[in-house]
Amino acid sequence: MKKLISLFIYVTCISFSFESCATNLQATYLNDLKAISKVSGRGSNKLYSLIRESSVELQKDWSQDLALELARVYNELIEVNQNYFLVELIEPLLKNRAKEFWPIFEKALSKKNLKIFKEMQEMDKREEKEGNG
Amino acid sequence: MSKKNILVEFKVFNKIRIGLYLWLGGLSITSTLAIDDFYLSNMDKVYASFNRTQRIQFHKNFLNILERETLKTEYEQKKIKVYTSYQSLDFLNLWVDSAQASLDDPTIFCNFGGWVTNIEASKCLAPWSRSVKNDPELDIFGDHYAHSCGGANLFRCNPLVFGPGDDGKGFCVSTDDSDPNLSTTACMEEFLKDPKAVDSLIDDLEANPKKLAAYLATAVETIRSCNVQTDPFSYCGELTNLMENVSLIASRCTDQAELVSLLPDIITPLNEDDLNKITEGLGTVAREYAEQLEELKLEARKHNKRVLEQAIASAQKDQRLIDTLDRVRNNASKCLRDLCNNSRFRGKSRKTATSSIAKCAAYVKHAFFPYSSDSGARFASYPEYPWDNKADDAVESSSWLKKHGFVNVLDYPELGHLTPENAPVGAIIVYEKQNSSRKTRVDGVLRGAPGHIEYKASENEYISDFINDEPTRVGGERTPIGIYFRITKEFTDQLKEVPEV
Repeated sequence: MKKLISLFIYVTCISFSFESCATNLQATYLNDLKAISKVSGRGSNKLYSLIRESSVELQKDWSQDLALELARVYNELIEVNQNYFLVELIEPLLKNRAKEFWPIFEKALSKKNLKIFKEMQEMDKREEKEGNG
Repeated sequence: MSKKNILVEFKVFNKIRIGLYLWLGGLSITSTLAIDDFYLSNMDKVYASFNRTQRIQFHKNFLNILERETLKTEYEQKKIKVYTSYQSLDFLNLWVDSAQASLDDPTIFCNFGGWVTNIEASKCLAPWSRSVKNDPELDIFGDHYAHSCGGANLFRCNPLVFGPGDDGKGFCVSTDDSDPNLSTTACMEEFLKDPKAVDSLIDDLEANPKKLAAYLATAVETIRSCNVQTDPFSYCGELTNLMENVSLIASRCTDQAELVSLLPDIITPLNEDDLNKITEGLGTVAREYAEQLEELKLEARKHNKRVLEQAIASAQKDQRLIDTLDRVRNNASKCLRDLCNNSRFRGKSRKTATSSIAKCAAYVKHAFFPYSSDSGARFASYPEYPWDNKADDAVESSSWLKKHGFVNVLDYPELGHLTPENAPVGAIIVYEKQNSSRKTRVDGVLRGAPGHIEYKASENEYISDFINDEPTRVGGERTPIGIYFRITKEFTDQLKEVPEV
């Protein structure tokens, strides 16, 4: 019985530690995204990494707050950079969390940017299929 | 002293030694304590002086060389993974602070029937798992069990230590195959039944220095393992004595130059003294040889780095490269051929220089293989490239780059530190695409297509079909696989061969 109780406590602690780990990561991404009101220049690899990592995190562990912030920053990014390959940063999220993320994303993007985004998606698909040579 | 005399001495000494164990068992404990003191005062210092890479190398050296011998035996039975994996060596760092020369010391292995195995919770692990237990069918071994002993309480002795046996794969002995003492003792007894067995083994090792190096590794690890135990395995005295003598004779009679060249694979600061003892000082010779080789290696690498840097500096001054960079920069704001047709610049002759149209490879090639009407020096001309549907993707660019004398400088360890960020201006950088549904084989490796390619035209200018102010890593979605420069024969001829240590 003692062993069972110890095991239960151990498993619970481990679960909580992972939970807090995930929460910390999300909080970090959320804070970093919140700090971006406008994207300077045409963005940077640092920003792209933040978007990609937040997107990966959301696929693993959904958070409405983080999703809202990510969609907002992505809209800011499209304002300054319409290069097609930027869709790859959030494409897996759009595919794997379509139900949750697409409505938020659609709402966060301006009408003009949503249209641009769809063109970027098409170009990205075409490149993967037909090549770039 | 002749081989025969040493063998006679070994046999006589062995009897005396066994007698000593029976009558003066306490003595062995006393001597073990002294050895423990030595290890406590030195081993932790030696091991602590290792960096992580050296520690990993320390384990890998032995176990790789022993693994090679093991694989030759072609067992049907599944081998227990006895060697410490590369990834799981972090625990070694923790061990340094509480270094103890005991079976819990992760640098100590044990001998189980001639096989060097790991120790877990002070227990010597069996080297082989049983594929089938207590199956009466196994009384008659069929073809399937050609190389294994076939079941419970039958143990295959390591042929490297106990000779080839009847089938060339090592003796099968009847024993409790979960017990290192009984299994090893049974192997030893079976081996020593034949009065010529030791001679044959020595002859075999003498003729094959690679095998002898593996034997020596097994011998030193067995000796170290037996020395640190307060209550050594019962086989320890006889086995270490046997291995010491076989090692001494075989190493004396073999091609010593070849043996010394192989010993750096198995020598570490922890076993050098033991290796010296069983090879009459070859351990130190081997260490000195390894040190000289290491010096030569460093010198060659330093020389090659200098030559390669000169080669790149020379390539940067090549007018063809300078003009190619100008062309790609100018082209970035043009719609070449019909390449803009699938973009928002459809029907236009010009495009925004910072906008990609997903044709990076085509634009890089247009600068490299320009039209005859294009100005400037060139490496090649437009008709030399097959501009059709089969045109290479960016990730496949090594094929045409290599044809024109370009080399991936990342293939040289001396330039392995280069990244798109710190690469010299003029580099052609090739990336593979991460998370791609399409893979293509490039230089024998499967890579994510279509990838990306760009020239580093200046410190903050990376150009393909668009101009980027930083490497086009796309936040990790593109991974660099090549940094290309044209290295001429004048420089490659100056490169020195780097000796392998």
